[in-house]
Amino acid sequence: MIQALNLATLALTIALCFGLYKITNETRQAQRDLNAIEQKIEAERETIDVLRAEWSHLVRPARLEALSERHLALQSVSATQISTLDRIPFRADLPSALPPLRGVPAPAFVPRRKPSLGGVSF
Amino acid sequence: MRTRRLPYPHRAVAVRRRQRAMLAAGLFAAAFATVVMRLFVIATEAQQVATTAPVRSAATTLTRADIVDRDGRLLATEVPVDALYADARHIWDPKEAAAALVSILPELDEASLERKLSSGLAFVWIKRDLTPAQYAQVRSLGIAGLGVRRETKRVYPVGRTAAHVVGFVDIDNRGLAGVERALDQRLRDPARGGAPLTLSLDLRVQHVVADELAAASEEFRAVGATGIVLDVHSGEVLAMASVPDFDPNHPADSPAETRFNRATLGVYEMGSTFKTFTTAMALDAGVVTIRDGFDASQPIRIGRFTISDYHPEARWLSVPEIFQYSSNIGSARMAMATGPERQRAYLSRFGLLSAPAIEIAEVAPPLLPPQWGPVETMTISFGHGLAVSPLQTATAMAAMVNGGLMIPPTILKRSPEGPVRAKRVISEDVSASMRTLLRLVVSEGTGGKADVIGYPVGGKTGTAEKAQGGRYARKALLSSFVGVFPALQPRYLVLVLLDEPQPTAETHGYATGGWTAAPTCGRIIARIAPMLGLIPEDQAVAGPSDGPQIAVVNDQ
Repeated sequence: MIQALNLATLALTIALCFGLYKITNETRQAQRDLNAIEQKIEAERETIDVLRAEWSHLVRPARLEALSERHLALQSVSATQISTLDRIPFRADLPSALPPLRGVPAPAFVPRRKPSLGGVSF
Repeated sequence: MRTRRLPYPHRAVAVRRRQRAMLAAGLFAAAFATVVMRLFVIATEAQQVATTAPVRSAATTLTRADIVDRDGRLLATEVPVDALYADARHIWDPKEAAAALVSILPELDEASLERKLSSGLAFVWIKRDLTPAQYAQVRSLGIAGLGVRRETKRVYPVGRTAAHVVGFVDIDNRGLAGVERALDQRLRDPARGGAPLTLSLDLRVQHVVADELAAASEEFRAVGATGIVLDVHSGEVLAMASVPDFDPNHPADSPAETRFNRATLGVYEMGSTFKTFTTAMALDAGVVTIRDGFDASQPIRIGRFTISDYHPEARWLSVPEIFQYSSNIGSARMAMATGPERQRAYLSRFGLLSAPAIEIAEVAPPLLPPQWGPVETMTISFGHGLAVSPLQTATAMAAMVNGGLMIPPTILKRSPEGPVRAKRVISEDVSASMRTLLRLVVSEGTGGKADVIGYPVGGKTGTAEKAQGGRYARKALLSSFVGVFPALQPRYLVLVLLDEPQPTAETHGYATGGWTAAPTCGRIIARIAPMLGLIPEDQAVAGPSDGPQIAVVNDQ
């Protein structure tokens, strides 16, 4: 009986040793993988920092303005080009006489309605 | 196994022996179980350590927080760089190594490099920021004893545009100027976990101001210029620029005077702009009403001074006329009616007699007159004899038009719901009168060139002769304009100051505030008002007052 117990204990010890070795080895490997991934993350983060700085440098207003002047036919928005929906007259609202408005560019043809001036809000 | 029957005493001994053996076996089993348990715990704990230990956070890799504008656009950030050093004990041939390094890094001095490499020290810097290409080349040299350390370098992606506000750092990333210096601790605080610092600046507005100032100082051949855009209800600085400027990425490449921030570090006699304060305090103290007037027919002689008008009307002028025609005589008489003590008390409440508190390192205190008698009272009434910074002027002007509340300026974005520390300095009625008077200056008076179609502007011109060697120089002017818009419910204030502008053919020989700073201010407003989301108004229609509501904390 003692012998049987000894044998069983020996087998258990060997099994545990092997199990421990396997787990430790797997742990080490996982640690290595993790370190590699973290290094990659760090490298990516640094790349993001650099790219973010570069992007901000490239879209700075001074540069965009110069590029727009060179390549596009766009101009700054003037106040006469901005309005709100409630300032656009509806057909049915008003009679037809239309005195000119100061600061508003002359329309290409005479509109039939007088613009409503009410309800300005900002 | 065969059992033998033993005599009684022997039997008792055998039983005891067996009990002992069982006890020993039990102890061994317990010890073995403990070892097994321990092994199990160690094996599982090791895994836990592996999953939690080396996660490096952004806070430890970045040593300084980013600085962003109010909409999150990057103004300052850090990028990794390779820094080259040498362990001089392991350099075999300093001469050859130095020659090889200079061939890759031509900006280094070969003689001093050779001295460094033969010094025998364990650590000498060679170059702190290598480009990736240079790094590769240095590696390919294969010189023993060279090493590379990963460092971070502060970069300013927008360059000159916000240079004076943001400031810059030294090679070890310590703040040397601007916000970088004033909030150095906050930016390096690891407890904040690298959260960016949000300024009140709007990069688009900042660009417009810097751009227009550069254009104006070129057009008028001015030695310098400065501009400020302020939210009159929150005290937030939306833009602050100073010309000439510098590149914060290479601050040492520009002459020292380019790093001078005229908006906060320069103090100037602001000229007629001060008539706004003189009129406001006289109205608030009840010394005059808007319907009163003063005799401006004769120049005032006091002591060795003669106070006369630049555009003499030589008659009795009403209070609005004094303001509109910018009469020195009328202002001096109004200030005398207020009295020196009250004038001083009001100016102190307007924040004009002490250095303003703002999160920028370079802030100058005002230059006060040595004594404050009747002569000083009269000259200060039209902006001579007291030198203040443009920022102080802008802050005080904001209080004149925002309903009479003095709000400390800030370069940091305020949270919309947070209470604003405000102090009442003039009554709401006086503030309303001042808005009307300021509008009058632009619609009928000296500031006409600042007006913008769709965005009515109110404002005051200022032209001061610069004091040079104890005298005022006729040709060296400080021309300024402080504009607020929309004129009757102001949201924003724009200050423009030109240092020694020269007259041009278009200005008919004038270099005064109305001819130089006012049109510049108008151009800035025309460009920024649509960006700030203001709906243009038809000149005839005044919209309802719908400004932002602010919580007032009385901390008088």
